[in-house]
Amino acid sequence: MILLRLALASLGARALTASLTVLAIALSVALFLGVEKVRTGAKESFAGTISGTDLIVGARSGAVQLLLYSVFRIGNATNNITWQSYQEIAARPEVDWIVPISLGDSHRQFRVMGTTAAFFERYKYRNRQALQIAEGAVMDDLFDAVIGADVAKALGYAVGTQIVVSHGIRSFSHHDELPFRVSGILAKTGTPVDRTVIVSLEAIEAIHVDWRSGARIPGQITPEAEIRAMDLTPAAITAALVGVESRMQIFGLQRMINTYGQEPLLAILPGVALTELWGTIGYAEQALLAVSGMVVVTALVGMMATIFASLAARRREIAILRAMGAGPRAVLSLLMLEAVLMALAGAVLGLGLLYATLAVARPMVDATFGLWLPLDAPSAREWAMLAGVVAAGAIVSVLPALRAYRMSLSDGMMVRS
Amino acid sequence: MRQRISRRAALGLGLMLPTLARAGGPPKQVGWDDLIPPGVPYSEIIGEGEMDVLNDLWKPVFDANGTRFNPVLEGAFIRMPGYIIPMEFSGRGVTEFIMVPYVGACIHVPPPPPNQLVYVTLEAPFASNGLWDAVWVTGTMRTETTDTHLAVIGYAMKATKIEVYRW
Repeated sequence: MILLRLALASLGARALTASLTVLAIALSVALFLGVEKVRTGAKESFAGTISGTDLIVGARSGAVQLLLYSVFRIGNATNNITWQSYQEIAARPEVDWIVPISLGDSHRQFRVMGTTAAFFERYKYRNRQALQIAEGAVMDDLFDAVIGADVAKALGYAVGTQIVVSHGIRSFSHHDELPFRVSGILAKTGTPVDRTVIVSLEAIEAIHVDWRSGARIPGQITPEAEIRAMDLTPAAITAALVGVESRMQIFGLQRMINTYGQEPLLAILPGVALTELWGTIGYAEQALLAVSGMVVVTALVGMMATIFASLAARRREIAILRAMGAGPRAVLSLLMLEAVLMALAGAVLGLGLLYATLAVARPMVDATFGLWLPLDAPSAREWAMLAGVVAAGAIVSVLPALRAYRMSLSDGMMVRS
Repeated sequence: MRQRISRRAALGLGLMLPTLARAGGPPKQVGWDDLIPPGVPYSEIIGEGEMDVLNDLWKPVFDANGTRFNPVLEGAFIRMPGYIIPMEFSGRGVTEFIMVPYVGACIHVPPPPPNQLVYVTLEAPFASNGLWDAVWVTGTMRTETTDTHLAVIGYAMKATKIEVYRW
């Protein structure tokens, strides 16, 4: 108890250097834990992009590629699935539900996806959360569009805004003869849906009625009324999301699709493809962790340096303690206790700093990077890291403490000329 | 086929399961062979199927033996090894997966029959190192559960503990 009082008083006497050391540790701890938060947040956002879907079906390519273009809207489809194959898969007894997806058009910098109303019901993200309509309603008319939260925000759209869809992913070739009306805006999800314009599958067909071989037939403009009267069943779709009756049938259905005779198709398990994809980009995660680990080491070494530096100023103090009968163990524990107190204060302050920053910066990070950082209690792993910092503080202080003890008596008592 | 059996032998521990531990005691170690009810030969489980000569593919049809479950395992507290096919995630790891006896098998081999799959639900997420690491799963086994959103037909397990399998 007396040691604790002494340690506190001694730290109080050197308030400035001590608080600077604590601040350095706090900053490094905040950075280290912050990296951990960003890492789990990124993984959470990534892993939660699709949930509750059992299989994704597309043209035969690679599992990761199919996942990228169908779910993340990165890259392009290699080929389409014919409507006939889609119908055959949909009719399989194992299939509980199936949602077709048609890609390849865009609006400004955002991709347009043709699908059915079932998408809003079946597409789930992060622990099976369903999409929520923030404003307006799901498509009702042929030329209705539902837009993601980021689309609405970036382009300043509201329900009722007229938009023109363009041919291709980036384009000067517009389907301006047939504008769409924004019928609904989705609530923010933190998934690629936020950056998507959703229209009906028929609408995708409708805007391509006058198009042949990648260009509009010059001079030919079919009146809207005529298009509405047409049979707009698509000839092909880009991909399909599938839910099975029982997950035990997934492998059977996957094999049936992968060995489908009429057309080269590919069915992937989203979970497996996500794991493979994370495996390839997961190195960045390790690098982040390593860098932040080095920051903590730097702060601890800095603390060791300050303790060493303070020893010179404290020769008298320690010598007096020794002269008054403090044993070597007492001097050693006093210095280690001071270090542990500083490390502890640094850890606590760092934790506070992190949560304060998170609370303030969270909406901004979400808006800028689409990364939703969880504001939850530290995980067991993070507590272990904090404990590790404090323990490391004790360990690095052993060296200066030993030195102080060895030098203390003779050195401190001598009056130097 | 041969490769399949040797893999199964490597993982399956071929226990006879005289009595199974109920919840409370230590878990009973179980192998993949034990999921097949006694007296049902594995070769029959794979079923007949047809050969698609044109595409050089064997399309199996599982007969009734593939969906027969070992009644001894109902409610049993067990520990068994297998591979993870992830189904649901959180940021901290996988929360639901299908446990299978082998992964990455050649495309000519049909997928395992229903009684060689276990649907595992976890209490806490497991940070998996990827698809190729085997694990030991400890938990309580159920047969023919009807989960609200899963409608699982087959083995389902509520896992309390997962460890990395050390070869």
